[in-house]
Amino acid sequence: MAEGGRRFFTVPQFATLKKLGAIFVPPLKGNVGAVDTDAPEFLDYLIGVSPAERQTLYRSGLDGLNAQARRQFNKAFADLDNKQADAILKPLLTPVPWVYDLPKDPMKRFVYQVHQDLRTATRNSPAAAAASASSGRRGGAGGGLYWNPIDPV
Amino acid sequence: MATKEYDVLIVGSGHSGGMAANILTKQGLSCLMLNAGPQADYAKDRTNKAVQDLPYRGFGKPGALEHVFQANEFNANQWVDEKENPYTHDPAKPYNWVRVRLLGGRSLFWARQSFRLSDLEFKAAEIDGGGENWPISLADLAPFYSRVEAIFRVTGRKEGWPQFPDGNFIEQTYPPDSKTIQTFTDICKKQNIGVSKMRSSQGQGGLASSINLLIPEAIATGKLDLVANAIVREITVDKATGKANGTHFIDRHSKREMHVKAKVVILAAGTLESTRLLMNSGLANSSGQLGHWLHDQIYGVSVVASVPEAQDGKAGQGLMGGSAFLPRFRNLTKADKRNFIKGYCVNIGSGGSAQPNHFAAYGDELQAKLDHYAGSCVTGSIYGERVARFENKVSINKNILDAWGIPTLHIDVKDSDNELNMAKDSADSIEEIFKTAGWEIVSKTDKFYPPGYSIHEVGTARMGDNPKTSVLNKWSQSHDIKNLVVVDGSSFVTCGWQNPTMTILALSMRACEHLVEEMKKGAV
Repeated sequence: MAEGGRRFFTVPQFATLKKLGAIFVPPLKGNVGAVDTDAPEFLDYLIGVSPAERQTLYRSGLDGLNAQARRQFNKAFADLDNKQADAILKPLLTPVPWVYDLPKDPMKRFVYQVHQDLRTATRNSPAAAAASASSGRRGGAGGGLYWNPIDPV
Repeated sequence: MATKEYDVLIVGSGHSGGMAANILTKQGLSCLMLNAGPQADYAKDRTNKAVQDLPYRGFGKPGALEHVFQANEFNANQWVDEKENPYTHDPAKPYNWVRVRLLGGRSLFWARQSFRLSDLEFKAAEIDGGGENWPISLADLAPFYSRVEAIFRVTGRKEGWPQFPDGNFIEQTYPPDSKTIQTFTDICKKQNIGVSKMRSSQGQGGLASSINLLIPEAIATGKLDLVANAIVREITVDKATGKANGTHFIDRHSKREMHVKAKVVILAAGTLESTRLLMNSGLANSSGQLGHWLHDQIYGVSVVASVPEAQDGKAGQGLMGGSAFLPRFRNLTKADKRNFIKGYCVNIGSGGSAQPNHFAAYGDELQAKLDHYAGSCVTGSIYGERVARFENKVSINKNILDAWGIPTLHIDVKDSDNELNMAKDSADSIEEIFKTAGWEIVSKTDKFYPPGYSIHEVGTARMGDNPKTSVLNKWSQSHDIKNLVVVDGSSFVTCGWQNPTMTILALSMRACEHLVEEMKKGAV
């Protein structure tokens, strides 16, 4: 089962998100990467049903990266090579000692958030679980006791 | 139910309500317990699921439970629905009100850290001049703490320190400390900082809740009736005597309103729900103090360090692992002058790993860092006391009603420099110890969550000897209406750095035993 196609982001926005997935969460140490797990497609769905503030953070962030790529390299972010993408992204990276105290700068905040979201969407994906199972490794992000709706009104 | 008059009506079924039912029914009193939510069926209501099978891959439903940072996609349905049960606050003054309305309330999910308050808290005004003393001391409450600790099967290591009163603990054998914990302990000792172990309720079967430790014994007496899905709207008063005589409540499903009669009304709905009910009833506020003095504890301050010997996969057993606990070590005497009053505790864990958010890196570079630090980290997590202040308060918002038409709370709380200075001191002090040990600081923050996050909110119906400055007397009875008793955390004068559960339970036990004596004498 795979995620459906793009619904929320524009074509350039989604291409930028997909490029970020390839850069931030590549396949490493035998694990699957963000693109292999449809993490960008999942985030397209998730952000599309999220509160306006989160939608704005994403849309502005993706547009901002694309605009910077055009200014700096005269091409879309999705068409950058990795060295060019690094030149844009690395100045925007910030360590976050505490996850409820995010960077005030909107671009730095977006880059932090999309990085974390792509990691989570990848780790928690059906494709990652399937890849772990097929490799015989203890895998996926695991599970837990899910509380069903309890006697709803 | 419409015609029966109970001896005691108990609103709420968490630790404090469960204790009330347990004590009072054993004394032969007929009790009715009303709980606002349903009773969970653990077999039917919980299912093992893999995270990849959840609709939102573990992110949770966007926009739901925005105030409950503890919520995740697995547990989202255990918390109160914020759309059905709204509250308001100034956007610049966030407050996280974290609620559970299942039978058993928040006693189903607490972290089980089990501490007594000390006279540093009960008599805090004498130490630091902040706020007022409680009308009771540790000596008054100690016998009740001992009985509560026996019921909850509390484990801990006795130390003999006045700031960390020992209790009626189950003896426990601790494995030898890892080298890391030994190093940490040695440095603390040189700084006259006491290092102990966590104290924790074992309960039964992994649960230390009212639903398994308190309510079953009450039901066994045949004296307890229990009604779920009963949302209490108002406490009613006999106009002739001025005494409480029952409550109006609304059935959660049908929204039908009913009334029940009782000789005594006990509120155990949790600090803010009990306060909301008193305010909506227009009772117990001749002092003008009701709803004020809301406080809890600061959570979120932490320091993470990496032990160089344990890096690059060398975090073997003996070097890493284990834990330590530092009870309050600041402001233990009047001579200890700092730029804040009160104190904090520190929970130390050894053997963890760095997290991706600690680094400005991605891809291969990030993975290399995560591998480098894996298993080599020591974390200090800090919990500190917020000062009770009159201006931190709740009020009724008649413009916003809950799903049953009941006016809601507006919460108005703001931290002060005391909290900020305490947080900075705590992060600095732990960083200094870690650096003295020769460890590499990976992450440090002196930021903390909004008020309410700790789920330890207390103080809005504080007890005291003076009816002009307090809502309850030292037996948790309303100064204004003696047959109205509040046994949850709203009676606290100061919260301390300690998890308040043991104190809430001991106060409820003490209040209910006193109530029985008063009822026998005809004084209530």
